[in-house]
Amino acid sequence: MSETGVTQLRIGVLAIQGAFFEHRAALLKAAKNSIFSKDIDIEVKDIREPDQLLDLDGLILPGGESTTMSLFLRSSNFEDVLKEWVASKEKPKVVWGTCAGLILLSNGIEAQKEGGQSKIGGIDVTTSRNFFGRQVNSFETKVNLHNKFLLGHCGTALNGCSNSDTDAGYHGVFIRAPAVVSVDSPNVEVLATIDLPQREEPVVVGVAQDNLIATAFHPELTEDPLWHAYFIRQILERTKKGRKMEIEAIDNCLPSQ
Amino acid sequence: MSANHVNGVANDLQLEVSNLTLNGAPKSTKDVTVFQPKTGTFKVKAGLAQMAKGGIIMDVTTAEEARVAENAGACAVMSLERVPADIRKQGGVARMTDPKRTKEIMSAVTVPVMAKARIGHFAEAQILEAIGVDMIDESEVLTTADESHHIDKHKFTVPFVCGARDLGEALRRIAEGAAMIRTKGQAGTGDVAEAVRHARTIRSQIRHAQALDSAELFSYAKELRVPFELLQKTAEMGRLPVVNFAAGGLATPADVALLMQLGVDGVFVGSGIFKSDNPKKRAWAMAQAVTHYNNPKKLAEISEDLGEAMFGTPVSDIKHK
Repeated sequence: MSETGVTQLRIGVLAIQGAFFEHRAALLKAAKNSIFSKDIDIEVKDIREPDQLLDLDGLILPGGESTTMSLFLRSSNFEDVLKEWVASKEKPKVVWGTCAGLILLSNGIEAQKEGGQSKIGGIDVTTSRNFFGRQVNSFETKVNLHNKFLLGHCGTALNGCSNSDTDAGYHGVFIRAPAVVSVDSPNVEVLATIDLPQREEPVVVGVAQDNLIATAFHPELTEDPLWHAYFIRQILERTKKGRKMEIEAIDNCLPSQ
Repeated sequence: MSANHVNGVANDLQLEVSNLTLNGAPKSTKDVTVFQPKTGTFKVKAGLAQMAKGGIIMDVTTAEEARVAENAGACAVMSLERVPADIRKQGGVARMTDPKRTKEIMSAVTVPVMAKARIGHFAEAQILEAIGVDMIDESEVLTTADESHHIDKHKFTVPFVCGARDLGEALRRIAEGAAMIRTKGQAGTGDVAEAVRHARTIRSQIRHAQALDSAELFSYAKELRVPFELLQKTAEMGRLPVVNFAAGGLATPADVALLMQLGVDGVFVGSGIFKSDNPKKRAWAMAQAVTHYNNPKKLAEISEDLGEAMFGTPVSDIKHK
């Protein structure tokens, strides 16, 4: 990557099952219609085999059936490779899980399938599967945003529109969705919540910790690529940090040489 | 807006489904500041189908079969009274499954549970919605209850999938509120020929629509007996405006790969699994085939040693009877 010119990003979408194509479409929309700190050129890859992970800068675990995805990941030794890859210290990658992906990234899971479910983990939250019920309870609603970037920019005109209105929300689509029932560490940033008429407390539906992002709803099922732009931005930030760490590491090595 | 009300909310007549194609810049975003939670909208119904993409949905008649299907990697199961091969063999009137059986299936698995209702039988559909199934298949596999009307699917909170043999049929069902389409194929035969014919027909009719100018598109809409706006949208998108699966006669991983390469979003398998020698193994192989449909090497591996496929009846034999 060079400071000038175009930054190449390779983003993978786990393409075992679910709305992986929708994520591709939304990523391309976000890249085309948003302004980032650098000019970027993104390549989106469908990931079906563990060895395809190697040269990615970021990965999306899409919505789909978490049971189906778990089985598949477990059977092909994918789970271990993915776990290692996500936790990799030397080159931080940004991973974003939506819906089923939130379940995969949570350290605690409630109401899971008998016999347990595969998980990648990494985010210190406890998630409840199908928190809102079955399909007849699936819904759309306004999602309240709590992150500066997500709030300060409205959707497509990422730099042009600074939005100080804290009422601004995002169109959230929840399909047999899970929800975060407890945030178990101060390192977890709550990105998004929803208010439900039958509940006093807001329900947590979007979180981030280090290089991991997870949402209970489906930004890939709406027109606004805000969350995909946020994801790309996090990758750019991480890549910068990664480079800085590399430089620092080299600097630190110098005196001892 | 028309009278398509669900829970007091007008269903969006645009039938908005996002990101099914790469075409098009984002539309102006909705004003969400005064958004109340809404269930049963078209987006939410079509969204469930979008979650099933790249997956395989298996017919099951008992909780035990449902567990086998789930453990093999089915992304949903379809509850029905008898698999199509048995309906074909035994004859008689095929109806909705006993709700008790469907409820047992629902409590046995965590994946979505779908169930079949007879064409036009909105009372069966109401019952299925009341017990909380995740999707209803208004299915020609069961005995038709109404020869001239389909169910008005806009009235329901639960999404519907419907069968289609061509583009006209598919778009008419979508206009009635179907959130997902599948090819009809020839269920219970183990012969994939009809499913292939229907998938190819829909595909080539969409290509034809794409080549027409607007005046021609009006008469094509008339010819297909479909709403013009829906046909126009289909032509713009270059695909059906909702998720489209293949169904009817798929019996091997290769059948799955064939249909997936013809551009469907996923597959239904009925008799093909539980009428074969080794249902567990075959179910697993067919689930793998939906993911690896474009990888012949992998398909060769998973197709190996599956035991006998279902015996089957060639579609051509049925026709000549």
